[in-house]
Amino acid sequence: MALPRPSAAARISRTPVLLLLALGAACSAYGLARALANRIALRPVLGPVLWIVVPGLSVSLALGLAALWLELRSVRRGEPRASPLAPLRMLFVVLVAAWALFLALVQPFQRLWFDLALGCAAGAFAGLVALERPLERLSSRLRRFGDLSTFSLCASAVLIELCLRGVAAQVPSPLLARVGDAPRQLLERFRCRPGEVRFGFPCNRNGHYDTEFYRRREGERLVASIGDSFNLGAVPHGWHFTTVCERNLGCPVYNLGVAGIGPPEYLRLLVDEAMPLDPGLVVIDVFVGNDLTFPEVEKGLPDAALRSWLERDRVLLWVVPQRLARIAEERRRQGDRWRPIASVQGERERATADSQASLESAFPWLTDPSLEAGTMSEPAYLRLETRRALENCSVDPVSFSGFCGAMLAMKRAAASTPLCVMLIPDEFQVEDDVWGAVRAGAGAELERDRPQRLVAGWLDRNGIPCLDLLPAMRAVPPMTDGKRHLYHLRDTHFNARGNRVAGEELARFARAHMR
Amino acid sequence: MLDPVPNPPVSASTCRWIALLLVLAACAKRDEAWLAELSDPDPFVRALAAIALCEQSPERASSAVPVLLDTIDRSELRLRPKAAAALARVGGHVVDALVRSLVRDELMTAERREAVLAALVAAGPAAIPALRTVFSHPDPAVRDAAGEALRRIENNPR
Repeated sequence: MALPRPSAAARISRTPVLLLLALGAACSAYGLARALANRIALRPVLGPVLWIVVPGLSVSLALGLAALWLELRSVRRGEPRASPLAPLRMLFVVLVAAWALFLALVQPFQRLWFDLALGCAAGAFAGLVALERPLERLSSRLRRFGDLSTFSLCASAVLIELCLRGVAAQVPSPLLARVGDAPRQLLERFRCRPGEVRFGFPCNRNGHYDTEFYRRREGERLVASIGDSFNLGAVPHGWHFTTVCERNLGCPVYNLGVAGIGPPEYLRLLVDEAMPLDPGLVVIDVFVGNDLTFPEVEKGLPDAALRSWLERDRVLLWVVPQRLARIAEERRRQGDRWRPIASVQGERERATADSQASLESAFPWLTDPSLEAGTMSEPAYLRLETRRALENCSVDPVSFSGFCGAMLAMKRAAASTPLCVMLIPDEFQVEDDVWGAVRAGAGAELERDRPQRLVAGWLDRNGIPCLDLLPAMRAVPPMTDGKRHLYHLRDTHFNARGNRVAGEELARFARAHMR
Repeated sequence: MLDPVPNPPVSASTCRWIALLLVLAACAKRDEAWLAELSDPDPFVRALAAIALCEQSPERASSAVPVLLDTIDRSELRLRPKAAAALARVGGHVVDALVRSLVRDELMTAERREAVLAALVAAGPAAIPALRTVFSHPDPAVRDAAGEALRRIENNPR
């Protein structure tokens, strides 16, 4: 077989690089054109940085053209590339480095920033290709070491990220959740496994903390209660507010709850799981602490694939170490009392019997709140409560527009089925000592009942009946230590006493609104 | 004696500057392009268009006011101070829109209210007649905000 002539070898070994350089120069030119076209807006937004970006992109374009010219000259001279794969490795390293720099310095992701960054990265690649020949003067061992070490480092980063995403897809876990997961994905990630035992009670086939669900038959009464971790509950099933309500109401109250979700996911649960059961009443359990304000960062945004890799909170390699560090810190604060982080006392224990008396002896804190062990450390709990108070009770709160939009969508989805809201107060609104600590740490003027005042008014104006639990909870007389003890210790969720109040109030309310 | 060679009317360096300015002018977007981008689905593109419109044509910025207010509310865009500054820049041209936003938004964020007040103050005495119309509004928070704006305008005579 005849060997290719030197010129043919040069063409074969250099054509891919030529194409990549041409593409890179086009990216730099596009980035420069975008920067210039938007310069009126970028001047106030970027300030002096604009005068680094525009020359940077111009230099990138010049480097791209220069590298292209050098490469073409080498082809014409018939100089084959000694290592045809080296520029591809170089390109990979440049792209991964640009990815890391983008995550570290250019957040949040915007398409314009991406175009500018890509133009600069293309310039860096062109610069390295143009410098290939001068760099050949360095010792070959040093070059090989640099080449292999940077390539291995970058390949490892990409591989780890891909592996973490693979694991996240196969084994849903809050540790591997990515901000911006669409409602359906979020539900699947946080939903309990069918049969998963909590406080001795197995979740049903849909992963809800309740018995199996059946569609309502003619003449039957049925309530569907939709919510987040309050519905998942921090007590055995018999003590849960939906079970208390069921006993008081004398008809099934289905408990559709998934921890860590919010109004957009309630809408999905309503449409996909509650409405097919044809309930006579749907109750959306809205927790004042975290259901009223949530970022709508994903709504209608383009470039989903790019966002998935270039938005810091969606890159597992970036978020998982931080989450692990937080867990380790919380574990350190809890000292010797080791148990799973963010897990309620007794949640993972298997009760050996299911009668009320045996459960009460297995979980003695159900009847005696003084035996409750805190789920969070004191600083972590206070920090969380203070943040929630600032988000919802500041005299000028953040907008509730996302919540209002989701509620209107739920009302439309429920059509003729009555839809109500049960407003669940935060602990700082019920316990005076928590409120005192929150006010002391907030550093801003707070109105304790502001969320209820605003949201209940809005729901009323929009024809959505609302059960506000706050008055009933405040009406509970304090125990001997001056506290009402309606929430599990430093957990933010109802204990048995809180569930009883909520269940009884819900039964009274449901009776008046059920179809 | 030979006549001295006359200098060319425009030097080579001036030609280069003119060429550069022509390129820049060709790249720049017109008001119509910015106005069209005010309804882009991407909130960042909308925000940039609104800020650019305030820079380029303050007299046409009234349609940018809702986008600027939305940008102030959307902390994830991280353009809050820039949007507030743009609003203050065009305050005198959009007094009515600013006063309307005070009246309409019951659930207004502190940042938005502060930006609207700052823009009204930047508008100066031109904002006083519109602010006076708000004194009969049923919401005390709106009346307070209008009073606060008037007080600041009076304390900052231009």
